[in-house]
Order: sequence, then C-alpha cells, then structure tokens
Amino acid sequence: MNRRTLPLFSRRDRIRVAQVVILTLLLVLAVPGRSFAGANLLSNPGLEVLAADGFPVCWERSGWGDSTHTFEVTHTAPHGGTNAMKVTVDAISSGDRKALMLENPSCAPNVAPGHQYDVSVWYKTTTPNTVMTMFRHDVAQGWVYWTDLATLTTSAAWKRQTVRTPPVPANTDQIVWGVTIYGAGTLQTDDYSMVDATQAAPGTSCSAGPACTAGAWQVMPFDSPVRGIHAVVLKNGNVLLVAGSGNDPAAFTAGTFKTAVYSPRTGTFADVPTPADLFCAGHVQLADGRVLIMGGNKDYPAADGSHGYKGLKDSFVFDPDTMAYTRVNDMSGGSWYPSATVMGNGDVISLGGLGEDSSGTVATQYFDSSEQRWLSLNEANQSWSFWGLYPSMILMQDGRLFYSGSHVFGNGLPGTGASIYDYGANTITPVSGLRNKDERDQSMSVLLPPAQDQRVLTVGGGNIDSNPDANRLTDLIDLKQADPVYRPGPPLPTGTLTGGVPQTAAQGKMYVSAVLLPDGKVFETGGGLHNRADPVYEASMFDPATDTFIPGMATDPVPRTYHSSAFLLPDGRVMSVGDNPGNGSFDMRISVYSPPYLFKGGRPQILSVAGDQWAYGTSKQITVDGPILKASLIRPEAVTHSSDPNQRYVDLPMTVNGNTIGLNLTSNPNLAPPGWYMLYVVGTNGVPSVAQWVQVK
Amino acid sequence: MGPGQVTPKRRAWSILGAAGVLAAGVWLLAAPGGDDAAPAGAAAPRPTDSTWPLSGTPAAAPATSAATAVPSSPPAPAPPAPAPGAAAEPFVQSFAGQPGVRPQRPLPSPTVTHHVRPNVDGCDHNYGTITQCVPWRFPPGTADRCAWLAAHGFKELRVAGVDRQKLDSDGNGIACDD
Repeated sequence: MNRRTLPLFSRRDRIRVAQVVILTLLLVLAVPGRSFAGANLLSNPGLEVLAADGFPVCWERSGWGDSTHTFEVTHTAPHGGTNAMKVTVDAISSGDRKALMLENPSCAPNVAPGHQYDVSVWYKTTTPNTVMTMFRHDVAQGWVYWTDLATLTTSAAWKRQTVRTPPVPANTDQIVWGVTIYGAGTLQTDDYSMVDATQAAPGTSCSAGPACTAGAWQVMPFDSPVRGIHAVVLKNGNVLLVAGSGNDPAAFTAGTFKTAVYSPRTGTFADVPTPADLFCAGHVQLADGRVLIMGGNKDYPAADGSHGYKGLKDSFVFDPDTMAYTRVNDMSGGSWYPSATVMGNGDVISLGGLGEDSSGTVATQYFDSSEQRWLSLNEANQSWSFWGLYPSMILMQDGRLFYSGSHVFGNGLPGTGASIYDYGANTITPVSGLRNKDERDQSMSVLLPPAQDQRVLTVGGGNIDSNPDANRLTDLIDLKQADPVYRPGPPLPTGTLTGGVPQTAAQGKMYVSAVLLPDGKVFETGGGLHNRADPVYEASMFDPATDTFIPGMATDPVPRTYHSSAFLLPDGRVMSVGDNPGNGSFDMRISVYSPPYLFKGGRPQILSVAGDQWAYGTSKQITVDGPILKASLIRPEAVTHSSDPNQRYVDLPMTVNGNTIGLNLTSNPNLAPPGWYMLYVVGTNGVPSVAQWVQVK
Repeated sequence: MGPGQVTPKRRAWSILGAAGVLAAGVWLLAAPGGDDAAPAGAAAPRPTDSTWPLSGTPAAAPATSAATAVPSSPPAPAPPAPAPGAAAEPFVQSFAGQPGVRPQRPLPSPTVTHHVRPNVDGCDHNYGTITQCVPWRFPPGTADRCAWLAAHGFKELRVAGVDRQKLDSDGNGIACDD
C-alpha cells in the first residue's frame, strides 16, 4: 500500500516552531542590559602571533630614557592563550618603557573623532608606577601623544583594567596605546581589548528659543555690596568678593576696606572684616581650601607723579569655615598686582608686582605650605627678574611655570614676551610665537581643557599706554612639543560697541574673561576696546577639540571692562561682576549666564561619591542616575584683572560599570595641584551635573 | 472536545514554547559577557572591570606624597613582591625640553630698584581724582578730547596737577568747561 509520506512537522507545527523562534529572538533582542560583543578593534590583542624576531606582530618595544630593562614574551601562566608580555625594569633613572601597538596603518586601530572607546588590558604588576598611555594619529601632525588614562594598581594575580577614553579629538584617524612602566618592577600584560563605546545621544529638544544655542544672561535683582575686584570661588560654593578700598581713594583714606561672601544659592551676602587694603592683592586657594591673599595696596599714586602705586607686604589667609582672615608672616617684598600660582606640592609662587616704594618687585616669593609661611629672600631661589604686573604663570605638568605673556598694564616683557620659568633650576627660557606681545595687556590666558593636553590659549589684549584698539588675536601653544611655540589661533569674533555699533574687522577686546566649562569648552565674555573705556558686547564659546570659536553667544547686558571678572559657579552657570570705567564709577550689578547646555534637558545626577578625599593615581567610585559621557575636576577660580593662572579642567578617564563609574585621577600633582575641586559629570545629552566638591591630596 | 480543552499536542507545543522562552532567558543570564563582552554603549554599559567593585580604600596614599618629577630616586632593584595598595609615583612626561634654547641664568642680586613709572596704569593723574583715568594717550581717531571725555561720563574734571594735555583752555582749574 502506498502510504503518503507524512512530513516531520505539519504546517501548523511549523508555524508554532516559527512562533517560538521569533518569540525567543524578540526576547533576546528586546531585553536591555546585555548586548552582543562588539568588535575588538585591536590586531593580535592576545599577543599570540609572533613575528620573525619573536615579538608579537603589531607590537613594538617602546620607551625612552635611562633604564635597565627587558622585554619578554612569556609563556608562563599567561592570562589567555600561550603568550603574555613581560616588561621588567631593574633600574631606572629617567624615562619609561612600554609595549606599544605599532604606529602604522595596518596595526593601529582606526577611530572616529568624537567617539569614545573602552580600552582594557589584563595585567599583573609589582609596581604602581604604571599608566595606560595613548597616542593618536593626527592627519596634519602625524603621531602625537594624546593622554594618559589610568594608573594600574599592583597585583600579583591577573587583573583587568578598563577605561573609557575621552572623545577622540578632531583630525584623528588612528590611535595606539600601551601600558607604561616608569618604576622598577615587573609588568605583565595580556589580552588587550578596545571597543567603540559610543552610542548616539538620545534626541534633545529645547524650547528655550535663542537660549538653546546662545545661552542666556540674567542680571540679579540686587547689587553687590562691595566692588567685586577680586573673586574667589570657595570650597563650599560661596564666592569671596574682595574690594579692599576698591579703587576708591576716599575709602583708602578712611581705612574702609571691604570683603563680602556671596552665596549663590540664597542670593545673600555676608560682610567680612577686612584687615588691610587688599585691593590689588594676589590670591590662590591652598590645599585645604583656605585662600592665601598676598600683598595689596599700600598707597595710591600721587597726583604730582612723585610716586606711583605702592604694594603691601602683608599676607593673610581667609578661612571659609570661620569666615575670617588670619595674618601670616609678611612677604619679603611689597606686592601690588602679584601673580599667585599653586604648585604640585601645594606651595605657592608669587612673581612680579610693585613694591613698597613703587618699584618693580624682582623677588621670587615662595609660600611654604608645610610651614604655612613665606620664605625669606635667601630661602627661595632668586632669578631677580621683573615679571611685570599680574603675570600669567601657569603650572606645567613637570612643575615648571609657563609665562604666557598675558599681563596687566602696558607692554609685555622684553624679548619674545613669553617664557618658561624653572624655579628648581632657576632658569628662564624664552618661548616664541606670541603675536603683538606689547598689545596683550589684559588679555587672558587659560590652560585649555583638559589639563592633560597641556595647551594654552591667550585671548585678545590691548595696551593702556599706547591705547590702540584692542585686538582680536588669539594664540595657541602646545606645551607637549619638544620646542613649544605659539601658533596663531582663530580671531576673536567681533561684537558691538555702545549703542549697538558693530565693531570693525580689526577691533577686538581687552579685559576679556575666559571661563572653563564642565563640557570642556571655554566661554569668553566681557571686555573693552580701550583703556577703561568702550565696552565690547561679544561672547563666544571656544572649542578646544576643534580650535574654533562658536560665535554669537548671548552677551552680558552689563558692561564688563576694567576690574571685571567672570567665573564658573558649581551649578554650571557663569557669574560676572565689576566694571570700573575711567570716569571713576563702578558698576555693582551681578549678572549670571546660563550656557546653552542648561537648556538641553535633564541634568545627570551624581548619586554618590566614594569619599571626598581623593589621592593621586587612584580610582574613585561614583554612582550616577544614567549614562554619562565624561567627568572632570575643575579648580574653582580665583580671578582678578583677567588673570587666573590656576584655572584648570582635569579630565577623569572613566571605568564604566553601568551607573557605577570609576574615575581615574592622574598620578601627577602638577596636573591637578592639591586642593578642593568641583567634580562634574556630563550626560549623553551634553548637560553637566551640578558639581560635588572633592579634595585632591 | 470542547473549546476550553487542551489537546495533548497543543499542550506539547505550549511546553516547547515555554521551554524556548526559558532557554532564552537562561541564555541571557549565562551568555558570554562580562569581561569578555563588548560594552553596550553609553546607555547601558556593561561591567568592564574584573576588579569591580573597587576596594573600599583604593591605594591609600602614603603620608608623604611626592610632588616632584619622577623618577626622583636613584636606580633601585625591582621589588621582590607586589605591594598591594602602594601609591603610584607621579607620572611626568618629558615635554617641552626646548633643545637648543639657551636658558637665561639668574641675574645678579640687584643694587638698584627696578624703576616703574608712576602712571603705570596709563592714566593722566593730572586730571580728576586718583580713581579717575583720563587716558595718557587718547584712542586713535579722537579728534576732540573734551568731547570724548564728556561722552565717557567725565564731569567737572579738575586739573589736579599740570595741564599736560591743554584741556583747560580758560585756565580756571577745570578741564573742558569752556
């Protein structure tokens, strides 16, 4: 009998099988929290393939300096496969060693600008002197150093370190990286990985009109009770406004010296008894968050020209906890318009200014933080050089000071107008390339975000003596270069003058304020065209990733020329104070700027921070309420006269585990001098959190 | 067989379906991931660090945290064993060596003061109060200095010193009032 062969599955059965398969697939794809492995972008990540010389394909021995060391492909207990890399440094007096991915088109992983990557490595190390170091291929410059990500803690067992890179800079097409060992010890590595961690940001919507792209200013409905000539953001988020006599000779004669502490949260002010005329002093936060004030105004100039301004030798410490000044020992010389830079060890170096007799102060004045006193002349290294008034002395990653050429009053210093000062070696070496160095009076210099990039931007300037139209010059310098020189930057955007008159193409501004923001951009605002005259209404956003200005930011309705300052508040807004035109008036209004990022959506929340005491070279855990793009520490400003050489944005490379993030703090105190910092995270919508305060020590 | 009844075959398929869903769930939980998987992106990052969670006190800093360039100590042999919790020395790059640039040595200790002229602020203090600032040099293109001063809010400008800029043509001690 012929029997019809029955199918294994009936039609209905096949449909049901299909339903089960589809349901399973849907479940796999729809359930969040787990995803498929992304491509490891590295070639020979496990070091398993060896070249003819016995070294892994696509890897090279790298490093520099004087050391006794060996590179070995070890087969003893690798993490995976049969090979691991073993670098042993027996002795080292300088430099470092690392196994590095080959810098060639075939081996170096390709990357996309703006993307972030999770890089990871399994390792063992007997020394903590290790760091994950990145290099990038710039389409214009070739291979250049990019950044350091994280220190690896010692471990006898295999351990994995994963860090998310910052967004890849513009003009970058490839990167390479490796683990640097720079101390005596043994480092083993294996099973490297690098995957693209970038996900398109969710759509943003903004209903704030022009504020969506330009931000918005608000003039406070109350005035400052003091002339805010000196402004210091305190470790508790309040703002110290120091006037002293406030450029008011009548107040000086009467001995009326003023200080107020402003609380941005409440809009209230607290008066602080002021022990001396701190007008024209220098100031910087110490490692413990107190503020060191140095010098001030001993006398105003005589009308007959018999003497000029005279500087005080007095020095005080303001304590935000007690809201009081305490006197410390005198400086070795009078200091009217001195610089103040905190060093990696917490000490402070002050240069320049005018002495008690109106002459230029040529002493290097050194505050020893361990002894809480100013050293005497003979105790500090002396170069006997005059550095001018409020010279911008920016701490470099190796502890030297970069004099950017930004200064106050008149011409720049002789020579190239910029230099590197090595306090330890007591040498000064010129730096070239700064344009019109004699017209950079009351320009502003900032160490661009992130501090790890070691680049400085100098913006605008004029000259109160020759009194030309202030300029639009910006100059950039990369202090990572072997022989750094300034390069021309993009011109400042033009704005309008009083009455809405457009500036000419040649007109820029002095008295400019430049403020580092938590999204990594620099907001520049305020300024004037001439000596204490002719405010310029212009504001823009400088993007260090592209070295371009985004023009057309909202402008402060209040003129901000001489004796004006702008600074970042912990909530991500920018506060602006002061204006002291030549007619002798002073604008007491306070204005606050909300950048565009505050109109782009909800703010990420820092839910917890594993302690507010952060040690160098460690990772600190935070929890957040959603995905974040980046994290940073921003040193609170201490600014006057367009000068705050301590302002800096320190990138915190992230180790990401869902909403728990490990933030990797540099091991180098010169990149983040000890002190209290504002910790920000930025969400995928580009919106920064409100800062939390942490102390780096 | 009534409409509410389940045939053995239908029951078998139901069991098979449930088993498939269960298998998918088990796979989701047990599938390769964690340390060997790629990140899920910023929206749902996966665990990426086998050391996670970090120890409570990561790398407690020693009492003396060096702030000098490294290596600051003479060559030393490799330590025999790991030192858990040891802090890293500062990692300092060898940037900006300025090869070939001749450093300026310290100047000799000065025997005279460094002169700075009294009107360092660019103001002509022959006029007005000390806090006022009549420009020592007016901006380029200023044809009428009195008009410029008036436009910039200067009123009843007293000649405090000498009439250097000839602004007091009537000699009454008040600039720009004629």
